[in-house]
Amino acid sequence: MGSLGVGALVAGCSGGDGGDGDGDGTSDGGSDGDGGMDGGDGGETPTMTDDAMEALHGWTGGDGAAAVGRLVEMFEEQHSDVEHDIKPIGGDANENLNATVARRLANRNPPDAFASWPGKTMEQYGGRLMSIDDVWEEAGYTDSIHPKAREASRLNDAYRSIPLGSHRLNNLFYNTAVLEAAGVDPESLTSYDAFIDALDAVDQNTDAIPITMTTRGSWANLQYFVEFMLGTEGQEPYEAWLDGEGDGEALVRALDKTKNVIENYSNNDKSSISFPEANDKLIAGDAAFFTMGNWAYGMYRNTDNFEFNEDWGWTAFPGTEDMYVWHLDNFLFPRDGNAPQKARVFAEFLGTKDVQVEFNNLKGSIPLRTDVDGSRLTEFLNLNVEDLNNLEKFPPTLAHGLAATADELSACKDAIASNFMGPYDAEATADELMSVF
Amino acid sequence: MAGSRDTVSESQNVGTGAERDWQTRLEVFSKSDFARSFPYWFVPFSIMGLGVYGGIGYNTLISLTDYEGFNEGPDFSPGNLDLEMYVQTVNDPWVWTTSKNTFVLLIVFTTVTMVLGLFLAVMLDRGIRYKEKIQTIYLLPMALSFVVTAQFWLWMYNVNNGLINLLLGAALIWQFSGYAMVVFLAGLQSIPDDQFEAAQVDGASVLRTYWRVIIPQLKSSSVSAAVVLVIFALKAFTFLFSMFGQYRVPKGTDILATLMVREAFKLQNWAYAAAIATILLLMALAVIAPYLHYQHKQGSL
Repeated sequence: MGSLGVGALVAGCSGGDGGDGDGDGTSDGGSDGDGGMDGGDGGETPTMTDDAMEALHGWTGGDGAAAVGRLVEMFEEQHSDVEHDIKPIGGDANENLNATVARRLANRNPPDAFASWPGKTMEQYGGRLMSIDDVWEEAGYTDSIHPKAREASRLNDAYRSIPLGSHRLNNLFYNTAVLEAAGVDPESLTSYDAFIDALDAVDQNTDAIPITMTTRGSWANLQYFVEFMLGTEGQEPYEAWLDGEGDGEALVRALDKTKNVIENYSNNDKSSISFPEANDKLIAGDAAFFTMGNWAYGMYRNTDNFEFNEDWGWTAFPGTEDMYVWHLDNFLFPRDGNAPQKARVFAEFLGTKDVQVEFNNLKGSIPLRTDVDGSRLTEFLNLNVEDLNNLEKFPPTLAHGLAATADELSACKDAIASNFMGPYDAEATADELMSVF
Repeated sequence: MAGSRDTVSESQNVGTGAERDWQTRLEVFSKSDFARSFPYWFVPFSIMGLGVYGGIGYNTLISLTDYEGFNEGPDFSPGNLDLEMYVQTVNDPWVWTTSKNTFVLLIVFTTVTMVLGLFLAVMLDRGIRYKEKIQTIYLLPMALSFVVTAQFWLWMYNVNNGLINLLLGAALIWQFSGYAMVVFLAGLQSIPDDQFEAAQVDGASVLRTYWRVIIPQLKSSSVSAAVVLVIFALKAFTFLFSMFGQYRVPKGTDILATLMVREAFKLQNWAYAAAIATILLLMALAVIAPYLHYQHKQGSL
């Protein structure tokens, strides 16, 4: 696989660049005269600067690195005249990437583009992003990109970001062999009660762990809770809560169910392992179920002789069959960058059909163009594309920032970290979660 | 400096008495240790002053503003400077939790590490068998980066295939007891053998000899070990970040340093984070200052 090598190479080469901008200190004169270097802000004939277009992302390993490697390769093929500096900032869950972006935005030394979550997470960057309405309109993305993604990519009445791919959150992956041994029919998993019956069956009939989990980070517990909330209470109470009109009792019920599964059906080492380590247990046949965003699918694809529908299967998280729990990976475009015209070229490039297909096939996420030929995608992704285009309920993910501002998300994680990472106190967690929105 | 001496000798011919006096003083000054060593100490001194005290000062200044977000820089106008951020920290339960954790880590980690280090140093000083090997075994972890040891300990803590399951602090203590040991060992070896012999002649037991004669002489070693250990305890951030891969760590291990980074780089509450940083600094000073003062009075600092 050629692109995998490229990805590793890119990650390796640019790894040392992560420290750029460190020496700027925190002094911030507030002068942003740099933007004037380029005529793009209001000039008649925007010209390109000599600076390379700098784009930061967090995809340093595995599928992400392979996908972004392919992306860079395609960018160089199609825009050989546009000098670029697309580089990864490593770390779990974009932690270092976000910190680097925050530091550079505060120091008035922004990159030209960076990967982040749109929706409410993007609000924190309000005032620092440039409008790329022109790119959206010229390239026709206002029609060809999924309407839900369009909405999430806007901030302060303008498109300031472009979606690259979407991961679905409400997945229940299973090991088919373990389910067979336990006598569980995956078709039956349509409710919480049916799910508990299945977990009991696995527990009694096999040596496998019913559900493999990671509870090392508060984000995971938050995500588990949201799955159970959506699966047992539904979309309306969830969104009512996000709107500040939640029902505390509904939260307590969902938290109790989450707690039941975490405490009684999962692996003992959940608090010290990461999600890939948890997923390994399913691949090895040591666990029956795993729920995670569909980035987990990349691990199955990269395992030899571990095929979709033969060795592993997928069903929507019990109770969420009619939902697509919504997540987006976008590139955001700061204003006052060094190469705003090149950034526009990059933005347009990201939305093209070929890029969306090739990047997402490798990344294991779902392209956001509504006009993608399904046969170009892997079988599993295509199944999700159909859901994306046909389902009507799109509750936004909380743990991945679409539904909450950075402050709200942090407060939610505080609530989980205080009361719901063992020992599990549903009442106290619900009280704190209710006070966030 | 050669130039200034030329000027001095030239003007000496025309100078009046008073002027000559001034010139002489200048000449003496230019030959003094202060002026002659100036180029050597001024550069490092100013870098240190700017980097350390300038940093602390600027941080404190930011903590008095309401600086947050990306759009506006800090507003330093006098009307805007107040202690509002500190009032907020006092009312923030999370600050209390993390302060408590930080303080416990500081005290427990430093004390246990020093006691363990002293114990090991005394053992080695008694000339036990395999002395060099034991010394190497204990010192080696110091050479490893936090990133390595954190991963290492995470594997060992793993419930399923872990070797041991202890408290988190054990990892840090393990890594730094070797350092404390070396510092104490150096101190011990500088104590002349006569004192052991004298104590022996007086009929003191080994335990009593150490307790009454030897350990009291290790005060300066203790200070240097304690200072370094306290600093490392405050820097446990690196360790936690390596262990959990994020700025948000489980509540029981959340310390002020992780909270500070979260507030600054996740939420852009720069002023609030600066206030937390100041609290962290004061805590470090509060722990170490009485001891430093005592040592200073004793003349061992």
